[in-house]
Amino acid sequence: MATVNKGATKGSLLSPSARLIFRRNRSLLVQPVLIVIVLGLLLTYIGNHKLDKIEAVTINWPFISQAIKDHLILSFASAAIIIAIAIPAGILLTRPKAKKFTPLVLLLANVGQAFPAIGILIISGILFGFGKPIAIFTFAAFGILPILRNTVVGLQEIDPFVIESAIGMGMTPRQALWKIEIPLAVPVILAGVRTTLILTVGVATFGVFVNGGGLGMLIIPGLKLNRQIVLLTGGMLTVIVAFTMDWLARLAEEFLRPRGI
Amino acid sequence: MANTHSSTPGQEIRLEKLTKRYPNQKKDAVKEFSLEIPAGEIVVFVGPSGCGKTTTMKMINRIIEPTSGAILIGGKDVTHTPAHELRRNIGYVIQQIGLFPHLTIGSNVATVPQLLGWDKGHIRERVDELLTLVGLDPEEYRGRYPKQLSGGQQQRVGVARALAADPAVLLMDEPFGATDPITRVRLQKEFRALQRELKKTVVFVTHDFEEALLLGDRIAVLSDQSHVEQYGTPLEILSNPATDKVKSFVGEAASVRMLALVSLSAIELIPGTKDGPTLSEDATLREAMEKFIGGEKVVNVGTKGHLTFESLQEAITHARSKVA
Repeated sequence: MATVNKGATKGSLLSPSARLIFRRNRSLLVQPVLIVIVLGLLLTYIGNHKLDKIEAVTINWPFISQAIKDHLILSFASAAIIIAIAIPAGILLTRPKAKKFTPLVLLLANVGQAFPAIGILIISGILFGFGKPIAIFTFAAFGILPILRNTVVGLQEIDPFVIESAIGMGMTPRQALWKIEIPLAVPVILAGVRTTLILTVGVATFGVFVNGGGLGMLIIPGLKLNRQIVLLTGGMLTVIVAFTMDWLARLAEEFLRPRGI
Repeated sequence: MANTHSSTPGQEIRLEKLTKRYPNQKKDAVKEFSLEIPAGEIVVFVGPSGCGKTTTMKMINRIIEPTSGAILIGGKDVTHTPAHELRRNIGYVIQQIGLFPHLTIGSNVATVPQLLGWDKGHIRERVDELLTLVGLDPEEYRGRYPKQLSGGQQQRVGVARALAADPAVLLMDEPFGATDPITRVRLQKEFRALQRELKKTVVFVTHDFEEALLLGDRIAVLSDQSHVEQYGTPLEILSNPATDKVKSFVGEAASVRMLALVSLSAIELIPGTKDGPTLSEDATLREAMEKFIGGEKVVNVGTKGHLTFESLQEAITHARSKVA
């Protein structure tokens, strides 16, 4: 009975297709609830704690909101750069003329991810100067692999006979790419986008090392000054941001997935 | 299966010394293949796997570009016209069907008309007409997705999609090969009936000789490198196989198979009807034979006359000598 009522209230807010997606994938409803609970616990913990002078420097709304804002800027900007580079590159790498470069490029992307992000970040900072831009570009190099690989794999995985019938009916290679191949690869590409988003939210905590801001502004002082509440707030907020990104990306995956597949 | 649309009749296809050699291969996959395919007929390429029959067919719409040779459709040389334009005028059906899984059945069928820039109303009309033509209720199926259909239904959509822009030529590569035997026979029969109405020029590839007999107006028996062992009507090939390879392909039961190709309207009957089962004039000698094997003494053919076992034997001998 309870589920029926819940479905009915949801139904008044959502379109029929959205209702179908939530019904099919209950965990999409569970995740925001968990996020809110974790956030509530964190706020309760902070509220019941008497802040000392050092803690009060960071545990205040203007400071925290600025850290979150910077964190989002770092993650979104690097993710946007990655998307703008990796998806076109992945498409290009599956075209007949560029196919032979695919292993080499994937290797490079692998290397990009295998390098310790923090080391590269510090070196880039020393070489090119500190600040947000350098952090954003370093994170972008670090997180390019999931989207690149998923774009290549998503396109390669398409049933070759589907493409043959598209070409056989008189589509040009470009038409086949836009009308058939890309829509069919969308779910796999979006899964890569989700992985990359979570990755960039994670590494954005390093932004603090090059004066890029972000939630690292709480984590690093928390560690250095041995203030557990500061450390915990920074860590938990990073997790909450990552989970929220993940949820939003999953929503996008569900809504953008072509209906027939 | 009603067809209200006036359909473009088939065009003759002429293939001249078509050759395909893949890079780094010593031997041609297809060697100097020449054939005339009359307008409005089903020509079946039949042969063992690896003989090059599919390669040959795929050179007609240049999914595989020929190394040399010429393709003429309706007298026009299309060997060098832009391939995508050529293909929009040739229906293409493959065994794996290759429906677009992310598009509805309606959109799948609408593919080529959309490429050709038809207006929306016209496309919608045409889609419904074609779904009806292949025996799928448009109301029910138009909005569904391929995965919601059975294999047999999917292949009907494949045929409808190939016919959408009313091409003069249809290429079919083992289109019914992946369906179960019962569905296959039904699809074959439906396709034969459909073709009687549409009169397209059809090139049909199969390795199944029974299928070739059932569907082909003519059969080209191919061997290695797409060499034409024999090209003729099913009856000619059954009664007079040209080479040992054809003979082995036709197999032992040639004369029994032939019975299924001659209809009762083609033979001489004894006037008057007698007490016994009645077959229509469209029935074949084989159906009559089955009645006799079942113990009947007399078989009536419509109201025109009747057959005894002896007169049927005589008719079979006569039919065989006529083609030989």
